[in-house]
Amino acid sequence: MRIRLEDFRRMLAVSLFSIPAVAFVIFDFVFPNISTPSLEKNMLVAFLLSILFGMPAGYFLKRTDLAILTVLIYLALGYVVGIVAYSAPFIFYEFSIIFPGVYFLFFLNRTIILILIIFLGGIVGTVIGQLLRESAETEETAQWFAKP
Amino acid sequence: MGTLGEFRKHWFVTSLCILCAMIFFASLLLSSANYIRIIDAREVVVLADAQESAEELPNGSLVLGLSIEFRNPSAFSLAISSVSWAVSLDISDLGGSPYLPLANVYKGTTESLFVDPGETEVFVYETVISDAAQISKIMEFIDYSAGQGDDYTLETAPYSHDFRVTSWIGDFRHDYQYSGEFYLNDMVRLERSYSEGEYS
Repeated sequence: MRIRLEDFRRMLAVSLFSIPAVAFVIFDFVFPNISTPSLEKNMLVAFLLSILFGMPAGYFLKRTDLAILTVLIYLALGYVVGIVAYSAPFIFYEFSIIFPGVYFLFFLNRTIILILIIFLGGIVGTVIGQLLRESAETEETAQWFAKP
Repeated sequence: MGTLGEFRKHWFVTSLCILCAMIFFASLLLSSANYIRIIDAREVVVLADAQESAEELPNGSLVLGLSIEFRNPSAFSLAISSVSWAVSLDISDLGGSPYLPLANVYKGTTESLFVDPGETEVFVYETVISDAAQISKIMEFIDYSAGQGDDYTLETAPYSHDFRVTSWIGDFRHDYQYSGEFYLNDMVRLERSYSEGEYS
């Protein structure tokens, strides 16, 4: 599998569409009572949403391997943004964490299953995104050759 | 075709993606801001300015009182769910029961009392001790202390006040029943106490 610089740029750009959504769902899964709106820890809704998050990767990247890699990228970066949101009171303000190890382990413990669900949904989303792209292109071609 | 060219060509899908990303990003910021303000509330809400009082009435009864402020400089209103006040006297030196309970008040509110942001709620309690058995026990302690070199009277005896208040921050959900989710209840619950001259 060869990844050109242009491919990598596109993967990163497409990831930007999904990073905020992944970060929000992860944060919401840890604190459903303070986030607005909230999925209330509903795994099915999280899975369905994660399909939506994977669709841009499938739509804008024709190569399936790159699309799946994009899912991994936005999942990793979204998780980092989620951790930043989770740590916001301690990063941007002068509040102190009493047990940092326990604090972050707690976050990981709460979200590990969710990560797998989002990854799975993301892969399904890439397939749907690619189908959508093919469908759009077929329609575009048909319109191009249609009689006036 | 470059990435930007691809996005321009599929402008409708790109716009939808950007819109979704912005909505989720705004939600993330809002939720994170809530989290920051809750942590802030846990730091700044305090009990303060406790004033204990003891007064002997002409008929020999004793009036014990406590006035204490519950300050809420946070951004949320606080729904007070329970308040308790107890006052006792440490009589462990006399042998037998270590404490002489003098008054005990508990209020678990069904319709919560709210303390608005920036407001201070002042709790004032007073109780009259007129039970002869209790007064005589206090006098017994005072007499015993006099033998130990402590010069107490009914008004200056070392009464121990214990005040506790529990409240919920804002109107965030706090009825999680599953043990793995108790931390969500704990996060929006504030417990403050004043006991033996110390705030916590």
